[in-house]
Amino acid sequence: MTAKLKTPLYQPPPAFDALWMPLIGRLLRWRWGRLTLQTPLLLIALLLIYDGFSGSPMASRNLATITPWVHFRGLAVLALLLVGNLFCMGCPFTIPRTLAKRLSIRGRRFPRVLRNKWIAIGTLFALFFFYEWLDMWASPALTAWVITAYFAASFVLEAAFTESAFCKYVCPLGSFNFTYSAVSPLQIQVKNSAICAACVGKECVNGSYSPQPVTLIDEIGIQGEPIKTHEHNSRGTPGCGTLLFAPQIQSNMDCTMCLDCARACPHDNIGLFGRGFGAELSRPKVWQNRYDISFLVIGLAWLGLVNAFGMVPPVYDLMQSLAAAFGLTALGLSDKLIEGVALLLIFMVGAGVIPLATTFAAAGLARMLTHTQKRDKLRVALASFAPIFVPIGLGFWIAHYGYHFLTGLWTIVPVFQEFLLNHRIGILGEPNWTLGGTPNLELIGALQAVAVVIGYAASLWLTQKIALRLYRRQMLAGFVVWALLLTVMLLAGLWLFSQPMEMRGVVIFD
Amino acid sequence: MKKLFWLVAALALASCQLVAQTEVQTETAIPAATVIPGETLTDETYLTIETAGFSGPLPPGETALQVTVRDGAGLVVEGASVQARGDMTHPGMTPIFGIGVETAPGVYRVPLDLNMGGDWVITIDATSANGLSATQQVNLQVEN
Repeated sequence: MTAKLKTPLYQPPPAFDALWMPLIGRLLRWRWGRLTLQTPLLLIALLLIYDGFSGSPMASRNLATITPWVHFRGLAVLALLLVGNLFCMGCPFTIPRTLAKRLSIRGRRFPRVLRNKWIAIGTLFALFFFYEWLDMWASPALTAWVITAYFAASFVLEAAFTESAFCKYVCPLGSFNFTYSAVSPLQIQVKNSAICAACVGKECVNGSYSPQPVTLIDEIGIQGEPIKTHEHNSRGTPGCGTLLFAPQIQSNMDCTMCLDCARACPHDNIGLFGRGFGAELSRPKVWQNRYDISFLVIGLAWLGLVNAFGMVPPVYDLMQSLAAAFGLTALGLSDKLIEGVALLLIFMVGAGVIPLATTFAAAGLARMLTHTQKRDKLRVALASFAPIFVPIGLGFWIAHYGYHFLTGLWTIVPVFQEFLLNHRIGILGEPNWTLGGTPNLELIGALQAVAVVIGYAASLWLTQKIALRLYRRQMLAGFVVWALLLTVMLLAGLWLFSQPMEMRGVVIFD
Repeated sequence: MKKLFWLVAALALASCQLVAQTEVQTETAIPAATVIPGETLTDETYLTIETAGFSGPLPPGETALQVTVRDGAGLVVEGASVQARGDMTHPGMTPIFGIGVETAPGVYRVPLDLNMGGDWVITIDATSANGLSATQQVNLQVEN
């Protein structure tokens, strides 16, 4: 059956399509475009593993710790805000994908019960907890092990399952990027959905790869003659690894921006289009009112606070109090173990109990005040407002990662110079350890406050939009409840980022 | 499936190594005095460094280390060149430097600006007039 393509009466002006930008667009559309982006990052990852295991054990003099914990994180949040999910696009961990696919036991999908974000929430929680407890930031070797584990986990899951289960369901970095790419100004979209409806092969999701050449007929003419055909062959492209169907994409969630869909599409019907910042956040049911996605988003915003709290002086007083209150010091445990237990309690309360309790309470209260208990389930009332935690959460992460990025921006230069000199390469000369001078902490502090306040303001704007859509005349009652929660988070964030940084690895309990 | 099993096994082994590595990282490593390579250790061929000036956590700001340089026989070494470098354990922090000034025979005052709270590793280098050198690392904590 062939769907007739109708020309609409009104055609909006063509939106900005990054795939048709000069040079960059051509590179992105090219068959080896992604590999071109991944290869430098793969080389960097291998360099970090090498230096992490063989270089200086001091974190401030090792590329394995400087690059990911100072520069990568800072650049990642900026890229998410200004462009899109560039780090998933250039992710080197998925390069062994082709090899893994050859080893793959074909036909097996990731278990249905696990096809959600609960594992990702767990890995994010674990990553941030172990980062703080084991002081990953202070250990090049540990960081190198984390990078190695990423390669291994990605490879194993690619080999075991048909879809990119690691990216979609497990990877904590990917989940972070998916969440905050909701604000990004670029999104995969189709040019004409009628073409997708008539498409035979659905290559965007199924791929155009075939070991033997296969000819597909897309349109049949009046005499039964093929009008349009295309071929699947060994030079084809895999389809979307996270199984997104291009015409149905309304959100950047789960999109790694690998652009395989655009390369595989035989109709050249897919683009990387411009859109408003955070455009998807105000769309109804954009994340299907799912609890798992909602708590990924809400949890990440609170993790932003808890992660930063782990690096300011009050956390040490709180850990001492917890150790005393629970009698941990009397048990004769090592300081490290006591720290782990105290930190786990802080993480469980700060990134678990408080987000759950406050969001359920806010959703329940908003339903009650707007008299929508019968109309909306609690899940709907909660999940509808989950997007409001994206801007404020991103504000926290920009404030935190931006601090490290700005204070340590130039420190990578002497570390790299020293690395080269240690390997008898003198091309960059002696390390200049004073490069960049002393950072202006007052200015950086002000920028942190600006990031948090802008995030809060965007969240408030989003809250009134969602409240108006959901509660109409009753919107004020619904808005106030969620705005109150956001205000508490804002105050917590401003207090937190006004504290002096104190990066202690060793905590001695009384 | 076998291949996958071996991969998982390798991952498990890597995790064990990771835990072991972590334990090593938490120990404080303070290297002994260094000597001229290839020489036998005698009283005249090595230096030792003794540090003072901090006990317990320090407040952020200007401070000074007191460094005493001795030779192998335990006699103070005058006219040595003493330098210190402070690195935070967190990456991305600009290191600080201090040059020692001899305040008494063999005793050197090294000023340092510990400009941020957290864990610091101070590396002290001493070189005597006759070319002997020693390096010592000291961990200290700065609390706001």
